[in-house]
Amino acid sequence: MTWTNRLLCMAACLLALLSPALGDPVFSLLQLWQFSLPSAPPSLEALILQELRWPRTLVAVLGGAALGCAGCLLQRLTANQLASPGLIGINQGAALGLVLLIMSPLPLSPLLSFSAAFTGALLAMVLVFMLTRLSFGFLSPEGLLLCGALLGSLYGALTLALLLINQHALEQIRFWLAGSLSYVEPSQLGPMAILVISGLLFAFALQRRLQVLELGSDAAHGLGINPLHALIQIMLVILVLTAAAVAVIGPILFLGLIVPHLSRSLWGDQLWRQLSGSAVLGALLLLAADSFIRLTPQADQLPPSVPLAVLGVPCFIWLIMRRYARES
Amino acid sequence: MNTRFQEHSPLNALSAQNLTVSYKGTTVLDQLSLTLNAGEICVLLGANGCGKSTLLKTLAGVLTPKSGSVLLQNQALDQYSARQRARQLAFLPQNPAAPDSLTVRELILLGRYPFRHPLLPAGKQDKAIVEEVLAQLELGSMADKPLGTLSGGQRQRAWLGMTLAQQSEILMLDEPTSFLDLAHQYDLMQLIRQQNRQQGKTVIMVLHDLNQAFEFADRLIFLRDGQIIADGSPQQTASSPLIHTVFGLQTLVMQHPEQNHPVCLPLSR
Amino acid sequence: MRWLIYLALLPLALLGCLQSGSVTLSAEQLLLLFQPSEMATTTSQLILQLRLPRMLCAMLIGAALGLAGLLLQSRSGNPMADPGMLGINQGAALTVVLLLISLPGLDPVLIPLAGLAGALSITGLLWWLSQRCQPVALLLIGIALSSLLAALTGLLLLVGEQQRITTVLTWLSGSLAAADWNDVWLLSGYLLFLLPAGIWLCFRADPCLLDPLSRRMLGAEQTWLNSLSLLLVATLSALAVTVAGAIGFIGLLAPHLARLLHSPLPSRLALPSMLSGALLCLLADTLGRALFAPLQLPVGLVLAIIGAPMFLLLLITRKTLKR
Repeated sequence: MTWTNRLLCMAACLLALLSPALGDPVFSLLQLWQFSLPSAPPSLEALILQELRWPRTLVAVLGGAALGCAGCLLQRLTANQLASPGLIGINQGAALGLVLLIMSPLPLSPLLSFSAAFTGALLAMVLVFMLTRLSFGFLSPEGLLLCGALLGSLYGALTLALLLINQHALEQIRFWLAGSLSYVEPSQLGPMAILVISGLLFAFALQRRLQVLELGSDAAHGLGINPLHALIQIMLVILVLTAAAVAVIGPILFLGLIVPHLSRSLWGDQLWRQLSGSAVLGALLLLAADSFIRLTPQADQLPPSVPLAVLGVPCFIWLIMRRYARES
Repeated sequence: MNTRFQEHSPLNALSAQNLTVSYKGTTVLDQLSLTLNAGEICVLLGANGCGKSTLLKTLAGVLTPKSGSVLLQNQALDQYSARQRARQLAFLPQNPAAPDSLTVRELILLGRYPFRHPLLPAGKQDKAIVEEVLAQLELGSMADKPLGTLSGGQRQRAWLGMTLAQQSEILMLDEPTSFLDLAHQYDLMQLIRQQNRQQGKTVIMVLHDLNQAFEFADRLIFLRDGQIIADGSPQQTASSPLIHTVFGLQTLVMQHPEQNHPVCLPLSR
Repeated sequence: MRWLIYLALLPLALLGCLQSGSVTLSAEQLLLLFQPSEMATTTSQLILQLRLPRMLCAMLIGAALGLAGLLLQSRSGNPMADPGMLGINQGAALTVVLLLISLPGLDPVLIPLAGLAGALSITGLLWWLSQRCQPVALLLIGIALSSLLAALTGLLLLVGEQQRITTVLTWLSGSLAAADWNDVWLLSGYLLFLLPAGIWLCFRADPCLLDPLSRRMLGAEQTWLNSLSLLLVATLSALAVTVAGAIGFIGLLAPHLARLLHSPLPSRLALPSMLSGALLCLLADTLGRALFAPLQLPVGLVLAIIGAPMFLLLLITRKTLKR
């Protein structure tokens, strides 16, 4: 454990503990402690903290960790530093699945909405890999990103078109669609926590397989691991993490891209470190973005994807410029 | 250094004075001077990384020298506009690329670009020149075929056609035969010689094959570490010690039994 | 021969466009337009005041974007380039939204200039970046940039006053619903100069098909031509954006559709790109109106929905990027 490591972990914990106090109104530490306890007398403050702030904080932590981890897994799996679920259209696919669910007569329970998001994400992932293969002949990094961007914009347009046709659904999820934490319901927290935590556990359990897979499928065969099985298992973990996060906080795009890079620059290339770092940093970043939004007057409804895009896009461009620098 | 040609040159087409070119901090050409005579085929030879491609590109004005200058018909090359230069000097790169759906005729017509009026479509004269080039290169039957359907040799011939349509005094070729099979290599070299003999074009090219260079060149320039270490006709320069210093390879140099030029046979080390 | 396809398709599309919408008109009703009668007045009102200007706007915008896409693709040497995908349209949209929110009641003729400022700065940024990286990277940068600009536009909309936002929102979704004769005059006034300039630049862009070195040795790598082309691309996109909001995919698809039929030389593609762009835009607008009538889908949305699969299909069948 280096100093930066400890410092960042502490910062994440501190922010997670203090974040509920931030916003309008701002609570003092004492108030935070008093009103957060289940035994607190029923009051407006207790209601705000227990029904709004704490769920929102926890959702940000879980969602950020899930997206960061999924991004890290995907980058390692495809050996493509520019990949992230948001950039290859998986998040938008999950969103489309959810919108279809809302338009269907089925009820909008947490489990069903997760299943819809998961199905959408699964189909999107299969489609993007298939189409990249078909159009570029192999899984080229830029081909994957290009097809992903095209498919992502297609899903986005379809989602918008569906919502325009069905105004009722639009009102229901307009803010969710922009990727907002303002409308999180406490009932969503339990299922999401179960899914994200089990996804993270599986990710860590599978990390050795991923390491073997990175050596190439022939080497994996030689080491007694079926590369196809390992591939499918890791993909499933990525999908569960992405879908669980997207189903609650909406399609947030650039988190899965930046976090693994930050994690690597802080803790190095080793998979275990990068993965755990991505989880911590993802949680920290999303929480910071959300706290920032709550502290800014007027901007309460601003989706956290806006500050993340402002932060993420320059990072992304810098990464691309470094990777595809012109030879001469 | 052999300066025989410089003294007797009837008409110099292109000359370089004290060229120094560096690439990414390392000096590739060092204080190199050279005069190319009109109407000769000159071949640049040397091991990989000796600077022959760099020299060719500098002579063509693609790379700017750090110091020294290139003179095209006694005028500094960098004073020519891009269009003016393209009328005097045609260049075929090592890996030319065009869309597969472009036809041979369209490709060759692109060679007329430096001559065309900015507002008007291709004129009668341009079209006549394209037909002439097609006939010279025996490409008439495939003039309207897309490049993607041609064989490697035919495609390279079409590219040569594009540079010929420029009707320039000087033709520069960077390893024109490198991706062709043996028969097509000789086919192309014959065409280039024919252009030189019949149209009086000055040809400067980089070649890898020593025997091709001996057969087709009027003048050979051997480069090593960014400097000219030998310069002269094939008969003058073909010697096994020289080839050893340039390429680090033991060879047997002898006269071609049927044709009047030297050949070299590699000996295993 | 090939031109017959356009001759056949264009009247069909025009007819379809005039007929469909919230009120479907039969062919006879359309014919009535030419006979002065009592019956025809409401129909002619509908057609002359609503559908005709809208149709003309769609065609002009399609042609402008098709030409812009062709110029951008040939000058950048990147067959995937498109003003919408690279963020140029979004740049124009951002400055227009900024202007509409901060200075309401502005002369509408000035709005294209604001769009131009945004489009130009993004084009300049992209050009500067493209000098420093490989062609494929430019595309990825553009995609990222457009999502950033879209996020910023969203931010502006959140900060602005509620009343102005409603007008901005309708415009932003890439819709031709509000197109009237004023827009037609605005567009045609600008395009009267811009389209011939664009066609001329396409004629000068033929050697751009070749690899950079050959292009340069033909004397075709002229910086002023590059700058002028980019300026024109930015202007055309800005113009389209100010009238119809951020419309994507036409600049990408129209030249590729034209390439299916014609020689890849930009000089031969200029007219076909404009025609197929106009057709595409017309088709998308008609579909958007007809599919869920009386509800209207914005043309930008329909284009994204038909455009992305079409382009993927092109990628798969032609392997455009595989050199």
